[in-house]
Amino acid sequence: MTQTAPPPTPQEAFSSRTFRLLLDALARPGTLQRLPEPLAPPPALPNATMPNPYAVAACLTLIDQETGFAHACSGAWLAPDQPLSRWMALRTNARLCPPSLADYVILHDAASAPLLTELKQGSLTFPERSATAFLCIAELSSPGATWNLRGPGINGTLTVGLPGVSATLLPAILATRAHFPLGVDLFCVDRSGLCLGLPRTTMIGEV
Amino acid sequence: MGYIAARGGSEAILRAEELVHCLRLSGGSTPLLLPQIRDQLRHAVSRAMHEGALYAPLLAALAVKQAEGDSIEASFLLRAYRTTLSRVMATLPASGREMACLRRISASFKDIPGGQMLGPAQDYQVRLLQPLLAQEDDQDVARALARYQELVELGQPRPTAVGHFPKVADYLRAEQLLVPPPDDPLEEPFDLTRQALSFPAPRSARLQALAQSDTGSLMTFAYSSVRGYGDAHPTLAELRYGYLPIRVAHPLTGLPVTIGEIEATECEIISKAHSVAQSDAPPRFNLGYGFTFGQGEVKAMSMAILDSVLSQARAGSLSGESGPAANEEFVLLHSDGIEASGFTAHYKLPHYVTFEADLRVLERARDHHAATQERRLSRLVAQTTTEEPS
Amino acid sequence: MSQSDEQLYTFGLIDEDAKREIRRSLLKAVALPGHQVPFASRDMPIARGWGTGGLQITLAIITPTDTLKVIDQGDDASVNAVNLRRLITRTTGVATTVDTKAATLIQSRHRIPEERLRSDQILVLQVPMVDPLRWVEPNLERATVMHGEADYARMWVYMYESVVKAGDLRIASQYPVIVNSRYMMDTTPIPRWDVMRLHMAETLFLFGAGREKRIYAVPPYTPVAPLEFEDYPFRTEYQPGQRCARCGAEESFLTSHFVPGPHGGGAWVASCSDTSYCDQRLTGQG
Repeated sequence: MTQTAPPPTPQEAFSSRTFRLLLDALARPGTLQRLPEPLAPPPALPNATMPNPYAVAACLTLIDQETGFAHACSGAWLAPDQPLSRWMALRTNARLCPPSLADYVILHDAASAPLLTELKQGSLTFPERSATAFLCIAELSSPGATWNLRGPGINGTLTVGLPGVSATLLPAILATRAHFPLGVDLFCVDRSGLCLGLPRTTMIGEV
Repeated sequence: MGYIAARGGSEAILRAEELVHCLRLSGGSTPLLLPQIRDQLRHAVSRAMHEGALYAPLLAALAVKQAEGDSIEASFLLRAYRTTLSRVMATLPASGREMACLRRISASFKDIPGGQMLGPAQDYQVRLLQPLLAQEDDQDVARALARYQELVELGQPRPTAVGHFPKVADYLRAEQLLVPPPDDPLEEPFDLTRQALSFPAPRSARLQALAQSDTGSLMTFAYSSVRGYGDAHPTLAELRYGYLPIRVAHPLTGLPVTIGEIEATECEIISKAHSVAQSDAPPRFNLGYGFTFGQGEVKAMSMAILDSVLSQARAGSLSGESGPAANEEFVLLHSDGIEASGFTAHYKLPHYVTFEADLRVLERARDHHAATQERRLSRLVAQTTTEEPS
Repeated sequence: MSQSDEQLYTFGLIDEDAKREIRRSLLKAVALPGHQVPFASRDMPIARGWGTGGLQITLAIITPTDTLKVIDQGDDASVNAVNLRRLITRTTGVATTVDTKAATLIQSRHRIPEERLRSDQILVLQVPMVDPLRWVEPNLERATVMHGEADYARMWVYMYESVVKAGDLRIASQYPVIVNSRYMMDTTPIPRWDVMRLHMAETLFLFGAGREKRIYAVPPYTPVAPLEFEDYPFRTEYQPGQRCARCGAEESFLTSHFVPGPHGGGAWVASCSDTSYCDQRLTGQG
């Protein structure tokens, strides 16, 4: 039989490849996935640093006109007229919205992690109506000496390393998952594109 | 290998497709042309469009042809096609007030502003087969067209506002006889095709679901609520059928631009039960709304009755709690013809794995039954023996 | 379908908006093991109830480098499996296989393949009835609240009544389970034989119900416990001494078929429902 299937466009191929990695990261917390090279570099943040291009590109594959997003840098939420906000909205039709309503969130640095507690966690009847956050950090390793992880997707216990990460990060994450099935699902992405999925079911302890 | 009868699927599927095609043409009659279907099987085309939720008369004619007249199959073909279309833009809200009516009737008042207009209605035809139709030819077509011209001239259409009529519901609303609509009319409507439906559903979701439902299912539910399994007392405020202009906002200027018109049926039903949705407000009638593409009067009326019954039920007022048609989940989740037919027909698929599992469970239940019987019998025997006088 | 027909559509038939919505739902489903996540469920060119949910998941996650296996009742050659495979390959061009070990993506109806699935594989199951609570509470609004509150008392009563009446838990397939000690989940009509293979598996299981418009998941290494009582434990269909008449397997799920004899008549025999597993054992590659 002759093959007539249209090949995916570069953006479609990037989206489906990224999704499989995100799915694997969330299904196997503690097993790091390497996200693919983004197709286009994002504009700079207000503090003149470059955002993590892997996290921005991964978030972009999931948002569209049906979703709201928010993002923060240096512990403060970014405004709609900020260049990266406009760049993301223009590419996806997604709207920048108040953090408490956002479906997808990017925290461009670990200093913004305490903002996780402002995100929606869903309801008992609709726990899926909760935020998914991308948290950009410097470096990830597995195994590592920062956290040990247990829960669905993990055969026993796994350890991960987040060298130099602030002691306030873990309490901020744990505060978003105190009332299962409510909670925020998290992807930590490091500078090299390594991605750690932390669904709300993952129990995190300090090593 | 010969072990499994339903194997060798590829070949069988291809042959089945060919056979369907051959069987349709096997009588050797002249193949149907799409304009013939569109014009002469008007109701089949309408039904494919409103149940398929896509206004496209010629494509609907193709679907009717391909489905060999099966109405659910034809609407299924249109739905499956619709899902692949990208959404260019949303139209501006259309109002039935702007309809150029071919027909417009009310049962609530003898005379209504603008007058009653029976139009093309089969309602009062005596249902006798017309043998002459079997021999129709081009001359009959010419005669019919000439007669149509005569009728149009007899009707003396006014040059302005052709077919535009005020709405009966507007009069009732002005008199404060109707309850306000249950949801904010300015709210962006729910879209079933983009969002997952959950309950309680907004009214726009209900209306969208009903508008694409199977005609027969809606008729059954509506009938049940007026016949006895419910407390609906509908009165037809107005039924209109005609051409409705469709507008979009110009992408640059934002001004409304008419992009065409669609053939549509609109129905408004007043429910006699006095709504007490707001206990401090005076009693009022409740209004149900029905709409279909093309001419679909039984469906539009059924939809309006059900909308009214479900609004009553939601408001928790005097009537509506009773009967299956007042259960929103029951009505909305079982009336889609494509979903219902698909699932009902899926029992044609092999189920031998689950049946094998059923057999094992049945065996265990039978063993349990036999063991229980045996115990009962031996107890009985034991009892009888002890009761025997020695 | 003529060759030019497919060019109307994008890779994987459904549009990117639809894929994104399914992908978002899948991520939430993985984060909430066993919980039913609603999704819009587009109209598909195959009938509702014939695998539209599984098909939408497959099309939303498939990449050109995947190797696909499609089975129905465990059989790659079953008519519906052939039809779904035809649609997926024509719109994606991916390679297909009947060999479970060679597949990266498996779409199935009513079975989990006999071979142990690996971590680099995903199994997509087609789901007809989405909620075990439907037996005791058909109203979705109320059943949603029951799941939200983990209020499964009525289901336990239902199970208890079946024990009293039949001396066993009467549910044969789509056996209800509790996932990760929280959500009660319909296992789809897989036989009981397959239920325990969801428990602490290496593989990610994705469940799609197209007509019911729900997606749910069992991630790898997740506890899955069938509903059972201490004195009436969960039992599979396994019967000691069972044996496949074809390959001789003693540890597989068997189904019965009538095999006509050479001179008329014939006999009922039991053989593996997983035909690829059975074939591989026969050819000695298993």
